Amino acid sequence: MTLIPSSFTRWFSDQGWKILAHQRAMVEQFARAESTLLIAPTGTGKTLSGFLPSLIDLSRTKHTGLHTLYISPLKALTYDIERNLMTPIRDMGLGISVESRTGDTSAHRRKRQRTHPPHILLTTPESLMLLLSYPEAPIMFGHLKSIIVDEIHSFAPGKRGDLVSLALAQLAALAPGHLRFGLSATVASPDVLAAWLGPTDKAVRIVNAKPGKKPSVTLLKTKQMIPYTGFMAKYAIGEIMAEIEKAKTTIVFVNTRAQAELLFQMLWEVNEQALAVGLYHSSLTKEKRHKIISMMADGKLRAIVATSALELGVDWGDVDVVIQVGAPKGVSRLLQRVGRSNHKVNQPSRAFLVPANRFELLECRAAIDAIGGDDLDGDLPDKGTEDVVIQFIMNAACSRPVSAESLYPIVTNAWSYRHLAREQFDKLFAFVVNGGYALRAYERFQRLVLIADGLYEPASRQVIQRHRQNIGVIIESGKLKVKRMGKRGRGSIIGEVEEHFAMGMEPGNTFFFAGETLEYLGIRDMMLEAKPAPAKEPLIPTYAGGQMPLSTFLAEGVRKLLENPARWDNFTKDMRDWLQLQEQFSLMPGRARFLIESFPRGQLHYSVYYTFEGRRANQTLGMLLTRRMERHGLLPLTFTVTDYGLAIASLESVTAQSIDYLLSPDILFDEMEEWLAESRMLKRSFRRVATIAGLVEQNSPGAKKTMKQVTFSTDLIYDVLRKYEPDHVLLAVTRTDAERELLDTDRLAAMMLKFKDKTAFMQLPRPSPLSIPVILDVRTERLPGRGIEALLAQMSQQGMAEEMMEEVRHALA
Amino acid sequence: MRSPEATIYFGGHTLVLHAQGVLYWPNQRTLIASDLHFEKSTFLARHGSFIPPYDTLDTLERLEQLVAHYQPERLILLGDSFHDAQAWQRLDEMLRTRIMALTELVRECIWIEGNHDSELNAHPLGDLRNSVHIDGMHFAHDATHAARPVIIGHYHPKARVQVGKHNVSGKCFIHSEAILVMPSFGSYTGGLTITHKAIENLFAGQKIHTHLIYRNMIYPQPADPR
Repeated sequence: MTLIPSSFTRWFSDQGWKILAHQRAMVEQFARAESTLLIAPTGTGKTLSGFLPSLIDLSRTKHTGLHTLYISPLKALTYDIERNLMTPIRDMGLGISVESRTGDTSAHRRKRQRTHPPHILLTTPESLMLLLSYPEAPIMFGHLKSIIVDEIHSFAPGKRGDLVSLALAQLAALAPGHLRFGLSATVASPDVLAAWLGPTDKAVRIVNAKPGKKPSVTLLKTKQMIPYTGFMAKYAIGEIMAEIEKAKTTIVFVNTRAQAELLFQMLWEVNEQALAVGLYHSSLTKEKRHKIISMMADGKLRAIVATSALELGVDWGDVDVVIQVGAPKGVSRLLQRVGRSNHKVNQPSRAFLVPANRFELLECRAAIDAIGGDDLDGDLPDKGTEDVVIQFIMNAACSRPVSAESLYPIVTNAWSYRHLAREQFDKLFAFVVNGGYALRAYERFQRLVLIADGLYEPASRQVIQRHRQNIGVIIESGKLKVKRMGKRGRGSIIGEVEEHFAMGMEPGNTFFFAGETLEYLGIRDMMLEAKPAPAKEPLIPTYAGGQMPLSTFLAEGVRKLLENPARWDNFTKDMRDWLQLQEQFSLMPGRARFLIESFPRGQLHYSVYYTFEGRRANQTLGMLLTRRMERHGLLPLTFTVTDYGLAIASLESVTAQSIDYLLSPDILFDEMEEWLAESRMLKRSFRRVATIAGLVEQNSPGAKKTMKQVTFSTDLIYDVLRKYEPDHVLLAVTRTDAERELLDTDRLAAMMLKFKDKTAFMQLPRPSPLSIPVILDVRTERLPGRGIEALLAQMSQQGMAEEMMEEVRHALA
Repeated sequence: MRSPEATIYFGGHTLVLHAQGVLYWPNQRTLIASDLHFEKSTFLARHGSFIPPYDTLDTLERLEQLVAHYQPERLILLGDSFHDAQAWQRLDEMLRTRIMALTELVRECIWIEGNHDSELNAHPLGDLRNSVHIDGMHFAHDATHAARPVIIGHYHPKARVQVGKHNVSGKCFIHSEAILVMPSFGSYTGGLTITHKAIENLFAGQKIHTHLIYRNMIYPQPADPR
């Protein structure tokens, strides 16, 4: 029997396509019954690679029930795939049923899918968990032959990945014979992903698609000088617009929603040809987003300003240029964005990078060099978090009675949980049963009741319902829908903003949203009402999400760049000038040297620490160092943090001697404990962990609680729990969560260890060139809502920066 | 200015507001606390929410400490002392004994009836009263009680204050010339911001004074004419 039936080969040639090597390889893997991870760049027919084996198998053998399960991180992706799959199925008359299952699926269809599933089911992690919580799950999934996990590189590291990992382990128990196929973009460590995809100790095979032509990525040349600080690329707006005019269709990527709104406005001001430019980010309504995407697909837009919400899945061939505004933060991430342009497999994608300030330029340059050298980075899946296990236990119990004994091997069969100790698992199980409190107050109210030897089932329908309504690991901050009011008091919902932003506005304030300027009218029925109005110093909605920190890999790239002056040749003159002056006046930080500078400025003393370890780790270091400085009478006042470094202003100066005790690694223990005890960090993590673990609900029948209400409750709960049961399992889980998500302690610790005896301390008479962006950087991107004020602030910072540079030149003359 | 106590003049009397959320009336040696919501956790547990079952214990401990501090002769609990009608029955034996012991530390312990505990079952606390008045001052659970001046609970008021770039929010005392609303004392009691319609309506047209509680200190806020 031929590997690929002639009907399929014919169908491919009818489309004008060839069956690619890696697509054939996937079919071979299926025939060999070997689970496989496919590493393929965007635009290489990845999706079809995943489904081809299933389509072929289904065309040859009669199969009743669910054959293939496809898991994707996005609903939009599943709908797209559904459409794409129907084409070959219809054309070849294959008689294969395909359905999507997401939060939007109708009640009628949902019910039918449990008892009469289609051959191919496309779903999201949360919907999958929900399906696994039904008594029909063993029947529904019992004959599963293939599971396809898409965009695996994007969600394996993280709680959603943990959720999928557990779901896969559960499916392995229900359908022992199935195969797993992962689809991933190119990443640095495919073997880790291959291990993650397989059951514990049974990593899947890897198939590498031929790498596409290397993309052409360059820094955008601009007339105006790149500023020292800032997050907006106003200096380059003319050139950005020029590229949009030259290209057919352009995607302009930014890192945050606030940047998207601002950039959109700035482009509008220079859009002399009145080209159609769209805006896309996750706080716009689904309808608006769909609209933009279809306009894009129909070629009606010349450009779209978007956040990473646009990144995944969906390809539309006609994008020929990608412009990344603001540093990319990670190489793999950048490649995935660049991969959005030009999907003709043999033509390289084209991209421009537009750094917003000088340090970002270094980061962009490091990223370009990494792409040239085929070096990649990317987040790796790590130990799974235990709040997800709690949710999983309850989920399993809803389907059929469970015992710790029976569930433990399933959980440890998930790669993310291979190291989970039985003792710890029992604690998590006890939590599900009755909260696991030392004070046995809840025995009469147990959520799970004992029915036989170690076997538990949910105590009531209510418990099951409550769980099913709260499945998921994405905890959202409270948001308010934005209603754009038109004539006669009618309005339409155009998106949402975060509660804290909405609460900070008064009638008369204007703000940028969805590409327009709106005037705040008020809040009614939990919705923010606004009407279009001319801009009067508009505010920019900010979102709690914030930016990703610079990756460790890029940090190393920047250090490498700095220690190698030969590489600055193609920088602009003012960049070279800046770096050369730094070499003369102070020292250059590098890979083997952790530079710390100390200098006076005005009435204060500054110490600057060039860590390059990303804003989170730097923030943590700042908190710890200022504490230690207090203890030693150095009177710290404030500190500023960027991805590249940290500057602390104090009344007493930091000397070479003080550095030794300030930076000893024990700071990660003593000061850390103290600080954590006082700060809000742990409470923030507890809120998230408590919600995932089902301690508090996000969604209860009836009123959907806003985040504020949940937050208040969890803060109170946290305080009481810490006081009366500091060893409670949820507190330990909270601690781990905080360290990973908020503090980046691992990263900080690694850095401190690496540079332990390699610090270079410079006592200077005035600020050094390299320090200027760090000490002037006021987190303008987070704090002021006012766009105009942010611009004004940047202008005055630029003036100050230039003065400071003059002083350095003068001193050296 | 930071202090755990603030003194005000209300209804013709000098009163001391404490950052723990209680009110002490020196002339009458009376301590007042409101909205204890004992056994809220076990109530919620019944509905599948397993929050740490230490709220009654914690609330009681804090109240005991304040009684030890002020050594009052009279203790008034302003209603919603229990989260629901069956709360007493769900109480641990140890906690019951402890609550009774507390009531015996003072000469008179008055339990005002709230909306949550209006039908409290099977308890030995004597009659729950609708309101009480002492030396011209009225005490009730909420403002349906017509007489003035009155000290009430019920609303769990919270204030939000802008401090530089930060927003600080916390429980608070709020009063006008005629009405004083106590913050809620219970460990798991949330709050209603004072800009909420219910509280705004209560104080419509009156000048109000707010005392914000933040990290065990009390901060008087500038008066706000409504």
